[in-house]
Amino acid sequence: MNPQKHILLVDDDEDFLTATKLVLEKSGYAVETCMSAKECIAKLKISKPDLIILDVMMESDHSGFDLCRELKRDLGTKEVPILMLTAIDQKYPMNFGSAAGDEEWLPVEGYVEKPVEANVLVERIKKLLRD
Amino acid sequence: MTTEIRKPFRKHARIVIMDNDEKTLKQLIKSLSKEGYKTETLAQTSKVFEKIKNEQIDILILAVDAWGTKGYELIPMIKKMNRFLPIIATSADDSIEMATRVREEGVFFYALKPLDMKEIKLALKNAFKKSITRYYEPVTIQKKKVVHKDFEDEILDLNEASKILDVGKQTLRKLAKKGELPATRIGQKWYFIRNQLLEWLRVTAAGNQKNYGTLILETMDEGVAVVDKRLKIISCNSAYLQALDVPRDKIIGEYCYRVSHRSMVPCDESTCPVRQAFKTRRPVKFMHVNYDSDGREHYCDVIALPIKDKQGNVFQVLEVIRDSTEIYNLNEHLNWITSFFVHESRKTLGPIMMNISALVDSKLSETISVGKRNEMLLSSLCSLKLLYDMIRNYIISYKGENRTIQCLKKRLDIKNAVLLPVLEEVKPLFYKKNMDVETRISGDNVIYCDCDLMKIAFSNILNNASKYGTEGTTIQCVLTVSDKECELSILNEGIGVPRNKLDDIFDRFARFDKLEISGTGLGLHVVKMIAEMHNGIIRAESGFLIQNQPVTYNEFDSNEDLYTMKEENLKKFARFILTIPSGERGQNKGGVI
Repeated sequence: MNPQKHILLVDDDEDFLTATKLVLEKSGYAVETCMSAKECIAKLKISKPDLIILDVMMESDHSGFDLCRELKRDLGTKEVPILMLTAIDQKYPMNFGSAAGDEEWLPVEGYVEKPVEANVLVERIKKLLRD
Repeated sequence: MTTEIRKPFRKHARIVIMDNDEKTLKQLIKSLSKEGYKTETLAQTSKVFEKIKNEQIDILILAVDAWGTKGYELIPMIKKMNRFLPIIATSADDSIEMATRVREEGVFFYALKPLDMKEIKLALKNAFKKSITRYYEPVTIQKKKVVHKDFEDEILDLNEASKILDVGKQTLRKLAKKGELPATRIGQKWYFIRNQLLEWLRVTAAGNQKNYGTLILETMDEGVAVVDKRLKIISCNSAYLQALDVPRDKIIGEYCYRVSHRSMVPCDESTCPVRQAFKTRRPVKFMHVNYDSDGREHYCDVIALPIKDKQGNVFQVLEVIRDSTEIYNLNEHLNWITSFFVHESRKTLGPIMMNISALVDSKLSETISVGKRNEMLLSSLCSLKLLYDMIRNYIISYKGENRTIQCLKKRLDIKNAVLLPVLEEVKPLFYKKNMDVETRISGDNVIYCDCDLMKIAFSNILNNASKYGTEGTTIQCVLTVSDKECELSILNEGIGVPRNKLDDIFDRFARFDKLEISGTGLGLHVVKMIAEMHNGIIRAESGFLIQNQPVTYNEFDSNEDLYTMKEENLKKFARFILTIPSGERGQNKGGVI
């Protein structure tokens, strides 16, 4: 059996964190959670997960974007795949363009739109981790 | 409507008094006559309209509670007939409702009976000054940079009249002196009324094609310019000048792109409606961003209509600018609101979908214990309540802004009809956070209020306490009812309200940046709205819990004994206090806002 994979779940919605953590743990993953970009960076300094699940809009509209870019610039975390969670509707983009800035589209490995069903999220994770 | 320009004198000032209270009438007539005012009384409401329509009145003193009618309802109608007429409203009804209603209608002064004549004389003096200002400074009053405006009674000086008619100032002055043109002379200056001027032009210039063309351009509300093949403006109307905020002499003969886009080069043919109209010989419509002289953006529909000669060749283009900035901004705002709600709804649905889908997935749910399952269901229920509140608050807020909510006040037991059901409703939220509610109720609990609205207000305050309160703490809920007022105070230990946010927290969509909690920021705004509908208030207090006693920021800052305490080590509290009048006992007071 493969060794247990580690996932870092970053979201500012405590209810979502609790629900998702339980689902992922029951699906066989080791899950750590944090609610802010600052906390996330602090945790990454201690250990490197196999996957980061990151919400686009946390404390401010852009913090998910900023954190994502920072992680992909950092040599230590560059290789960790990121699954971006978003409650932003493409039809009503809420300054999506300005948040993404002039740079190319965010260098993440995948997107999942909220709300997402448990099995759909688990399937996406399995694909990304090649389980 | 016609507005006569005349030089008023105090002794000629006509004051019309509408009242059926003989004592007040006598008092007013006697006192004002002594001051040199010419007074006149009116005994029927219907007569006032005739009077305003046919005669020149300087000030109207209106008893808004006379004849048992809602006198304030006359005010908007009077204003429609003469929006400059200063109205002094009087009433024996000293209720806040009446005062608010009358002031909302925009009266010059509101006086309570018995009248204080000193106060009335001062108000008259000021109202009279206002009339004089209007007569002597007509152009200042009309200096509005609004394009789509009712110009009917705009007062113009010689310069402006000359520009509108496209007739020289000398000629205009001659015509005015001869009395061939409707004009009024004040001192050395001539003044004209726009609609009279245009009417004169219409009648006298029907045979003159050039002037008739000017008349048509001027009659249009939208900015219109005629552009030739070189893209130079050869003529335009006043609305065009107002839309672009530039004087006429800087426009005529100038390239259209320099005027409207402040650009030194012509626009690309594919994006220029004027060039397109020349090319295609068809009307073309584009949305353009124009800039006024202050650099502000104007979103304009630019319509280019080709003017053709007998051979069908386009020799000029009529460029019509329709300023749609307001509609554009409104659309932007609606888009923002929609995005906001889509985002908040999806975010709130996140944990519900995750929990429920896990519970119905047979493989996953097998591994989840009964206790955990209940927690997941409770969490989902709480999120659903959050979503429901969000929708409810949005609807109330929207209806409140549009003034379409009915506030039906009834006599009721605030404890049993409002507080206890609401506490039951919010129970899951407290249960989820392991919070207790300590309730203290005093008084006989009977007040006048709208039951449904008050439930929403109470529920929002309690929801707020559960959201921002610390897990495992106790919320203090105190309801005090006296003959005069009913007060609900909800105190929770938690993150508190920052010092600089205590006043803003009731604003629409107010929400702090780093609360890590979802929500629309509408809940407290709705509470404020409901409090105001009941002539009540809501206020917020916050500070520190010292030995379990709440100490507000102000108390903390001014208490020398507490100087040594470090703020970051102290627990914080937030308290919301809703106070509404208990209402007159024994009388069912209904009202509509």
